Amino acid sequence: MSDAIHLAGALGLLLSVGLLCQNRAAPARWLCVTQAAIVAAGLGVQGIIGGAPAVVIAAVLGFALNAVALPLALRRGAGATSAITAGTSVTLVAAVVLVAIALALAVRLDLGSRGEVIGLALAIVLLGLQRTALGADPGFRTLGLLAAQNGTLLAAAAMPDLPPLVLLVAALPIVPGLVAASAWLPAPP
Amino acid sequence: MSFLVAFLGQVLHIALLVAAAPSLAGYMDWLHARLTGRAGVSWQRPWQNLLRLSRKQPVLAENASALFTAAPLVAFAAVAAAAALVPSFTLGMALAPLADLLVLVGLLALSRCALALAGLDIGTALGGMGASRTVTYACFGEPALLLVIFTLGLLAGSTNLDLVAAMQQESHFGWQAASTLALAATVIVGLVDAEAGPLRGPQQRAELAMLRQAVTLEFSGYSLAAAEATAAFRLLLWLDLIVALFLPFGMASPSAGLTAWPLGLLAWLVKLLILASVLVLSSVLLARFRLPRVPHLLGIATLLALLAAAFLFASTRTV
Repeated sequence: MSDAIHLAGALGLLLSVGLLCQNRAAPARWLCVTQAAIVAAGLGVQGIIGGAPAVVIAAVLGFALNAVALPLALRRGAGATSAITAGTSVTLVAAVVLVAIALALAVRLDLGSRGEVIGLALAIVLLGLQRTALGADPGFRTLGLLAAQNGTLLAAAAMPDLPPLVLLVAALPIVPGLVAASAWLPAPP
Repeated sequence: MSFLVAFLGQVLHIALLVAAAPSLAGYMDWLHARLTGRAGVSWQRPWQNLLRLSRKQPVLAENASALFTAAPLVAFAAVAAAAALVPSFTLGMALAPLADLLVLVGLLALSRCALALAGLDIGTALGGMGASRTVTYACFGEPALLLVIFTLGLLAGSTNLDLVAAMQQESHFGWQAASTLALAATVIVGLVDAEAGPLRGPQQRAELAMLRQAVTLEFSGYSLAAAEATAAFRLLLWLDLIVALFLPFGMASPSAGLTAWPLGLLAWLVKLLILASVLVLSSVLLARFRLPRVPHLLGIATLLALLAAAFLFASTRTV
């Protein structure tokens, strides 16, 4: 694993922590866009260095969908603001617990230098899910899921011997896309 | 010969600090003014202010003790000593063996403590409030900084700044998760301590500026000059520390000798200007942090530092 993917994972985790502390829609969306772009850049560098075209394609796909298309759709569709339902301190302590769980899991997997990237990716996924749980409107829930999606993509790229098709599927924001679409659908009478 | 080079490097480093600290503050004020649509004053204005103030006798409150007169000088001496220990353009300077990260934390705490005591000494409401806030925020920030030192110490095998910078320069621990998280924590603590970036109020007059501004409100004459110089040196110290710990690219190594110094100087200047410009940009583009949110920010720094340590342990277990 190159330094680029480690750096992307660490910056992604930082942005996930920032996302947890952010309760305004526009900055939160920008945090998600930055996170997706950083993860895609890390994957792209890793794919070029490792000579893996599937990783590069997944990076391009991830950037186009997670950093551009879905945030743009969210900007047009769900611009409502939201508040963190728990206090900031409680949220952050819970975040540390989640990261510790991810790290413990990564250590148990015993995957060498990939272990750290997988730990980071799992931490990003868990913090994204935490953001989703704390979101009070569809926009914020989608942003949480989008952050989790970035973590999933990072984890998929770090997994050894993963079939290219699975990697490409991991780059598609299916769940966040469905949640975002549900916000546009008319509410049942 | 090598001692002579180290001594020469130390003297040049101190001369650069003295030249750069007020100039950097002036550059940041000028850039901030330009970015907010004003003409801005010259980058030499802090120099002019310092010279003007240092010629004046201070006006003391009736109940001010000797502590009030000595405090700004003690604070300046502590920050200047700390800044002299942080390598700028070269490693292996004469004071390198003393450049321990814990010593730096101690010197910064001494400076903060001296100013807080001065704020309390005169017994004004604003001085007491500023002193109280300064010390409270230090209580939040120092655990984060100590955790960062712990992480870097474990990574480099020493808390000596020169050794940490040399190890980082040789990419022995590269851009791993632990060092990235430690960098983020250091930046947050540095921003709060130096009241820079999005924490800086317009012209240092509002809210968060009441930390230092409230403490130094009663200073005048050369005491105020010392307080202003302390602030400028503190900002430069934090930028230098971040550069030395996390971005030591281009820094001359002790074995390279004098020939590597011009490149080191250029790299240091470029990095300093970039970081200063980023700070100013962040203060212009981002909403200013309100005072009640500062403890939250420092709490986040502590958690990031904690995560850095956790990731370090995890990576040593997995690699």
